[in-house]
Amino acid sequence: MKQVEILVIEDEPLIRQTLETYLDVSDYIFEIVDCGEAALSLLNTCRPELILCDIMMPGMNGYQVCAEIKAQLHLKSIPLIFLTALHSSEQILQGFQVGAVDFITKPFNFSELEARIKTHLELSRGRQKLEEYTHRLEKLNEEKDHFLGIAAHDLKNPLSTILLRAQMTQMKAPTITPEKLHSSMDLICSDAQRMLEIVSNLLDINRLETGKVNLKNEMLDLKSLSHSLVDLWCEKAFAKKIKIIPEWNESPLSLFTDRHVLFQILENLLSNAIKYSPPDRFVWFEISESDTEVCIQIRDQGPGLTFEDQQKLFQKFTRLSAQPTGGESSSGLGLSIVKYLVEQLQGKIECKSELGQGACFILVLPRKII
Amino acid sequence: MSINKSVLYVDDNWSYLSVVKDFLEDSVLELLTTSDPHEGLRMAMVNQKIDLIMLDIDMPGMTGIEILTQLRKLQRTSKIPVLMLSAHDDLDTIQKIHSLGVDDYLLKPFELNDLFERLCKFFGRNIFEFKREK
Repeated sequence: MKQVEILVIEDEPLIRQTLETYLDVSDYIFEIVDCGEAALSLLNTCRPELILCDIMMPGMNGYQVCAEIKAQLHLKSIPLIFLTALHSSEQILQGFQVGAVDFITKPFNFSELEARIKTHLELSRGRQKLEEYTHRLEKLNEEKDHFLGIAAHDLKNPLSTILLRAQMTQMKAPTITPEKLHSSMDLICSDAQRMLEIVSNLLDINRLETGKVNLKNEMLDLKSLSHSLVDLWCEKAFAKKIKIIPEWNESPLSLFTDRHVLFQILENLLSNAIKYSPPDRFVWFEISESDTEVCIQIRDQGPGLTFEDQQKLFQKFTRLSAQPTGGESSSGLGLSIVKYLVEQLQGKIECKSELGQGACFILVLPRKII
Repeated sequence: MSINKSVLYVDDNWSYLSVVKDFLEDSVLELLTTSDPHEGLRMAMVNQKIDLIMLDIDMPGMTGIEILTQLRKLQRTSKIPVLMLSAHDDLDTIQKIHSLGVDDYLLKPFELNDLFERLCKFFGRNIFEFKREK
């Protein structure tokens, strides 16, 4: 669509020429046509911010042109000013009735023309900006409602089962065995843990979306950071009979980045790989490098992801077909947080997977942040 | 009162299944559970002695309403009482399940006392061996 500020529709050559000179000198981007038909045809390829239109023209008159423009949904909000020698109140009224916003009576003086053009351009731009803000706010509000709806739903389930378990323990207090009490408490703890995870993730998302993450970049050794992460998760993986295989050489790999954020990203990816893997499988943790980038791949032998799942993988509150294999919880927020954090580090993340073939998460980070 | 009544509970929420199972473990009711709605329908169709079916509504693959519709079509299962358990409280859903001949409805999240009262309605007040009267 061609960028035009003002479209002039005027059949008298002398006025056309005068207007052309004035608009040119005033640095406006404009188009001039000599009849309504030509204007309507031009409006198929450009959307001016303001239209100046003569009334008495051969073919379509100004009122008809204006009515035609106002009848088209994508053009109706463009303000139109009539430039005319007509000045009876009926004629002016008719102009307003077909949708004009103002009149400039010929012969016009340039100061008046200038003032009216400026006012209506400012009004039109202000209105457009307001529409854009409103649209953006409506979208944000919709997203917030969706977000709250899902969060409330996700919190309601564990909360109601905590309540049920507590009620049951209370009702059966006289007869409950210590073993049963212990197992009930375990289940209450695990539901409460799940709720805590959802709330923490929500707070994380809120912190990220409101731009409250301050990166503290430092020079660190990626391999030593990865070692500590693998050490941390080794035991949990072992409990599910999963072996984490680090695949990197021992020479240090310096990276200038935020230690805490990078750790959170990698921990999320590694814990997911363990969470979704069945027992007796491997999880590979590979690091490779080029002059400009560092590539980290975390690969599992879990159920893999369907094409549909891969499309929505990094969205908030995603429900995937794959489920944790050891009763672990999933808030559906982890990967959306990972994506935000990766963007903070100016990196990229993608997932390669086929159903039944495991999943591989590939994180690429720049070696130097510009 | 010895165990002589069987209840089938179909719900995709494992936590609900688990807590209801624990709640009824010292009752005279034998509770069969599944989180898979297709398996639930199969169990209802093949098991000769089910005295009550408890169904969740929103389940992936097949809803509780679809299971209820199937059950009511088959002569053998058409008379088994069904108790729906769901968070749906809209008139459309309630009218729909009533038109399909549901026997009772319990809104989630429910309290164990409410579930107990519903079960008493079907099986009498002596479903627990221990004394629960307040």
